[in-house]
This record gives sequence, C-alpha cells and structure tokens, in this order.
Amino acid sequence: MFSDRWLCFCCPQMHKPPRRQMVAPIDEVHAQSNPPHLQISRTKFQEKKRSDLTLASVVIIQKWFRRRQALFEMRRKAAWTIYQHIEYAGEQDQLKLYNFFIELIQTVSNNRRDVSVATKVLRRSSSLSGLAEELELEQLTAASTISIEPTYQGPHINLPLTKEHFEVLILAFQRGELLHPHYVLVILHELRRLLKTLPNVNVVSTHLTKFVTVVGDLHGSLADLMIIFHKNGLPSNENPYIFNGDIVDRGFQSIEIFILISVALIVYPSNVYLNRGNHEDHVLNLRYGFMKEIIHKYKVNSSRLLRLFENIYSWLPVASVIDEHIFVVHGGISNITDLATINRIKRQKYLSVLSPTFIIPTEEDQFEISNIPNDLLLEWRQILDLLWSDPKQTDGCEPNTYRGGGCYWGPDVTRTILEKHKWTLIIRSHECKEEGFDYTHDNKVLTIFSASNYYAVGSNRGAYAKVLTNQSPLVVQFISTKASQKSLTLWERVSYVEEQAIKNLIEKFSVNKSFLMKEFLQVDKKRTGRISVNNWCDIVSRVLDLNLPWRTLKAQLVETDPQGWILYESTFRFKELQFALNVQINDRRRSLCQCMYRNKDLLETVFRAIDKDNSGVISMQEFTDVCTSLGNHNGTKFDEKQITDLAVSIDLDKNGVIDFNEFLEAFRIVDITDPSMEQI
Amino acid sequence: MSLTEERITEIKEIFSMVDDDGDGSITRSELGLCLRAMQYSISNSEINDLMKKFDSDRTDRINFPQLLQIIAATDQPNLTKQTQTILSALKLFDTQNDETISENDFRFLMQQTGEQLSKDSVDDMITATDARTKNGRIQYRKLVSTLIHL
Repeated sequence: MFSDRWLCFCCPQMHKPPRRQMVAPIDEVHAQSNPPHLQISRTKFQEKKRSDLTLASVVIIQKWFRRRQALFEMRRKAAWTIYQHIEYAGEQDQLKLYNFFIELIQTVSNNRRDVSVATKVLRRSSSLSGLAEELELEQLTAASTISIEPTYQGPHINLPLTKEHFEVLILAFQRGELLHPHYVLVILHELRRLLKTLPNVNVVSTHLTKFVTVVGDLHGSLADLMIIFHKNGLPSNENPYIFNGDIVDRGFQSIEIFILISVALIVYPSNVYLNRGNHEDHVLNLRYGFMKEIIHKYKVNSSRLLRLFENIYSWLPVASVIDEHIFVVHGGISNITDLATINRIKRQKYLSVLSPTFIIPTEEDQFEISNIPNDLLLEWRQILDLLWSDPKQTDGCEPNTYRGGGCYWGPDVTRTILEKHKWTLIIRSHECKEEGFDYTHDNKVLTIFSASNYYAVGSNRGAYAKVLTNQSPLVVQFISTKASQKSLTLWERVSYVEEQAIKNLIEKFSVNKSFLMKEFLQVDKKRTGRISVNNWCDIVSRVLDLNLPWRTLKAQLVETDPQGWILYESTFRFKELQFALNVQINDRRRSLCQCMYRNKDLLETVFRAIDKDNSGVISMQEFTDVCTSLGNHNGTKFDEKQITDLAVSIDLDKNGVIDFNEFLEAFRIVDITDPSMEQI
Repeated sequence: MSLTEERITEIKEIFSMVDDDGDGSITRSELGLCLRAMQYSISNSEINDLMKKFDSDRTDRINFPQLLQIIAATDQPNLTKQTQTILSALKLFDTQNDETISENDFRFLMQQTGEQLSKDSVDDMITATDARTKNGRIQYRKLVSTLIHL
C-alpha cells in the first residue's frame, strides 16, 4: 500500500464530542425566555443530542470513505497480480522453450526439421574453443574495426578511464546522446579484461568505507539510476556500490546504464561490484528488448556489440559476500547452494545460463549430443538457482527440473544455508515489489528492486539498501516522476495502473477468441448468450492459463445481465486482431493469424536467435521450419502450407528470404470501438 | 443469512488476494479491507467488535471459516437511513442555507473527530466527489451522494 495515504487502522481514536462553539446552538437565543434552571438543562440535552447526531454522521461518512478506499486497494492488488502473472508467464515461456530445444537435440528425434531448428537456435556464434575462440572474439570485436567519423558529436573517451570520463558520460546520456560504438567497444574490452581477474563471488568489505550500497534491478531505467546517484552520491572509493544484476532488458536505456556501471567499475575496481542477473544473458536479450535496443541504436555494428556482450556476461561474478556474513545474489538460493562449490566453477562456460556451452553442438551436422554427466548437471543447477530462484512462504525447495528455472525456496532452506555459511542475511532482487523492497523469511531475506514504475507509471516504488557495518541495512525508497506529471489522487493513480493491466487482458481475450468461444458455446448449448460467473471464470482461467482473481476483475472485462449471468460475447467487445497488410482473411487464415499472434513473442525470439548476423532476415525455409516446429513445442498447429501461402500472399517473400520484423508487425490488435480505425 | 456456493467462491478470491503471505489467515486491518471490498461499510470500532466476537481461538487473526461466519452474521447497512442522518446533522452547519458547509468545519469533523481521516484522505474525498464550490465551501449533499455510489 502507498502508506502515506492510509490511516493507521490499529489505533482508531474516539474523541469526545467537540465543545460548544463547534455545534452552533441556533436555539439558544430563544431559550432565554424560559426559567433559568429548565433553560440550562434543555439546552444541554439538545446539545448532546446534536453532538451525538453529528458524531454518528461523521463516522458514517468516514465508513463510506474507507469502503471506497478498500475497493480501490483491491483493484490495485488485482492489477498488480495481472502484471506479475503475465511477466512470470513470459519468463517461464522462455525457459520452457529452451528446455524444449535442449531435449529435442538430446533425444534421437525423427523429425530432422525440428532438430535443425533447435540446433540453429542453440548453436553458439563460434564453433571454435579455447584460445582460438578468444582470438576470434578479439579480432571480431576489436575497437579498431570501427573508425570514428569526423561528424561524430558525442562524447570522446580514452584510456585510462577517469572520474571525469564518468561524469562526462552521465551528462551526455542525460542529454540523450549516444556513445560511439568504437568507444563502447573500448570500454567493454577494458571491462572484460578486469572481469577476468575477478573471482566467482565478490568479496566485499565495509572495513574502510563503513558501508556499501546495494542496488537491485534497473532494467534499462536511466532515470532511476540518476535518482539513486542523486540521493546517494556517485560511486567512488568512499562510496562503494554493488549492482545486483538485471541491468539490461525491458527499459530503453540499458546500454547507457551498462556503460556507466562498467566505467564506474573500471575507475574504482575495488569499490564497484557487479553481480550477474538472469537478464545478463543473450537468450533473454532476444526476447526482452536489449537486442532490439542495440540493433536500433547501433545498426551495422550491433552484431559485434552483441557478440561481445554475450561473452562479457559469462565473466560477470555470480554473487557477492559483504563482511563475510551478508550474501548478495540476484535470484536467490536453493537447497544445494554451496559457496565452496560455486567458487570452483569455471563460470565462463556459461555464456547463457539457459543453454551453456557444453549443451551446444559444435559441428554443423552434429544434431545429437551425448548425455550430460550428473556432476555437470549439478554444477549447472548451482548457477541457475543463484540467478533464477524466488523465495516462497512454505518450507521446502521446489525445482522445476535441473534445467528448469531455478527453485522456489522456503524459510527452512534459508535457515540451513545461512547456518552452513555463517551468514546472517541474504539480499536479492529479481522480483518487483510495490514498495521497492520486501523482507521475508523472518527478515533473513531482503528483496531490493530499483526500477520504479516498472509495470506502469505509478505501479511501484524503487529502493536501494545501504549496508552499514554490523547494522541492519537501511532501505531508501524513491519513485521517478516526469516533471510534467501533476500530483494524482489515489483514485487516478489506481485507475491508470489498472487500465494498462486490463488492456493487456482484453488483448489476450481477443487473441484467444476462437478457443474461448468454443468453450463458451459448449457450456451454453441452448445459445442463450449467457453463462454463470463460475463457468466464465473457469474457462477464461484455463484458456489463458492465467490464475488471476477473475471474479474481482470481471466488472471491468465483461457485461452481466440483471440476474448476474455473464454475457460472454462481451468478452470480445473492444479489441480485434487485424492483419494490417492488404490480404484477404478467410476463416481458416483468421485462426492461423490468431495462432501466430498468440505466439508472437516466441516466434520473435526464435527468429532472432536464428538470425545470427542480426540482419532481420531469415530464409523462407527457416521461417516455415520455425513456425511448424514451434507448433510441436506448445501443441498449436501451424499448417506449413498455410504459412507459406500467407507469407507469399503478403509478398514478404523476396527471393526466398523473409523480413520477420515486417511479418510480426503486420499483426496488430486494433480497437474496434474506435471509429477512426479502418476495418479490413 | 446463508451463503451460496458462488458467493463463497467470490469471498475466497478476495480472501486470497488479501492474504499476502498465503498462510490462511488475515489480520484485523486486513479483515477491514476484505469486508469493505465486499461492499460492507463498517467502522473501525465495528471491526474491533467483530474480532472480539469471532476470533474464537484468540489468534488475533481471522481464518477463512471465521470470515464466512462474520459475513453470514453481518447485514448490509440501510443507506437511505444513513443518508438522512448525515443530511440532518450537517444541516446544522448550513449557516448560509444553501446545503454547504465551510471547508474548515468539514475538515475539522473529518480529521479531528470520529474515526479520524488523514488530511490526504480528505483532500481525495473532496476532489473525487467534486464537491467544492467556487467560494471554498463543500456541497455536502453532492459529496454524500457521490461517495455512496462507487
């Protein structure tokens, strides 16, 4: 809750009825004519009655107000649940996809096509290993491969990097300038050189500085980083920082933040630390925006940059320990977490935590890989758990599988692991929290999340933690607001956050229309157009695979008749999936389009993964291969002929290649209630 | 008042949303949140009374079966009667005889008496009901009738 707007319930106070002058004694003037003693008692009596009445009314108004506040609080909670579920469903999707591919190339599969897609997606850019790869990487991504044209107006930097460079870059980025790719490579190479000297787990001490600041997920939000630097000071040898991962993806200034943190690390190597987050992984960058950001900002040089990022991620330390008793890690822990084991791992093997190098075939025609030995699997799990786990409230540890997405770990696991290592606290990030932070597991686990307004403007605060020597951490909250934003009332704020979440759901309805209608009609055999609330909630929950508070949400999503039955056709009243190009859409194609749109994110991820040179273009064959093999992944049926037909008819097939960006952008959700939108 | 299965599912959903840590019980203030979210307008002292009456195992928390008992035993208020009470009480402050009360008086009542609200809350109330007149008085009938509808 936004606590400054709520009255503390636990200490309601009843005040005595206010004094005379408050309740204007209108009749007192007339009372003068009566005998004195009668006059006084009647006035007193009348007054008390009036006071009682006033008090009763005041309490009624206050009751009503609190009721309205509660209703808004519930709406806010519901909106929050929507955002969280969708976010986690997305990440789960990604993991499932990669698991699927890995399993595919491990089993002897008859379907050559599926396996070839999987291999292409998983294969590293380089098939070389060891020294040869190192040389190849340096050659490919050397700063000297890019020259600086005389027209470049942005900041210039040179080695050795200094505090002045750091400040120049901050100002430049705040002005919206782009750092020349040549300089980006210089900085990244310098960072890489440094990272290679670091251990897997940073050893941080507050002995000299007396404190260290821990920053959580930033996800490309430069505004939030600026607020933190403004409130807490720039990093320096007297002001140390630990950045706890998820610097990149989602926000639009990921590279700027990454550069700033890199420069800080280079200038103050003993006092700036970086932990790897689950988004410091090229597989996630495919889907969550960092790749798009680089391609958009750096165009022809993007491949080079992305290749170097891919390698740098693997050299990031996976955790930090402060003063030997506070464990700082991006995701969390699991029942097998063991510091000694972690320290022995060669972390650079894990270019992507989702598909590490020992999984990927090196030869073009090598489709199957042999079984992975158990100790290697356990090692992989250590890393995966550190970067992907979330705490849960009940005891126990539930992994998905070894190759799943980390664990959900309970308070008993916290106790065990803390005791084993003589730690007193775990500081982690990875989960968005409304107040920017959250304590759990009996205050032994602190979540710090530093990207404010993460889901929508006003959805949450950000926070950072100052860890002082031998004291509990001090948590500082903040929220970034645009100067133009006027102060909103509680009602306005909730409405806005909720609106975005609801829009998202309505889109999902429209995309799943054929499935939903099928189920609705199965229940409503008599075609009355109505079904019960229970049925509607049940169907929607199942088809969308989203466990949300549908009963609370239904008021914003569908219409009900006076008897409380749901008019299910109103589920689709606002939005419709349209295919934006000039194409005839018959019924069969419509369901194919819906199918494609539903899987848009997945398709996009896989297309990008295959498109090794980031040109935005893949072959027609690869395109159809991907579509059909994804059908096997999540059970949707893509008919190959239909797909080819569709691609050909939109004339996207130019000489056997497809611009997949164009293809994906051809699908839009349009607002059919908006008269300005043209119907196709 | 017995509860239909559908109503029970509805209540369960609200209870789950409020029970943040998933341990099957809610605190006193969360009870208030639940009941109010289900359209009951109850005062803090009424909530205290309910806690006393229904927290049979003295945990200072309410579990789901106890919540169902509370709801079965609680009636919806008579809004018409309550409106009348308010209007006649506030009439006493209607010194200009135009169904308005001075903002100062109103704030004093809301913030300093009864189950006090914060200044921010009262700001919200006045803005959201659009009850402020041009010369800074509060049209209380408008405020009341807007507030009662959601």
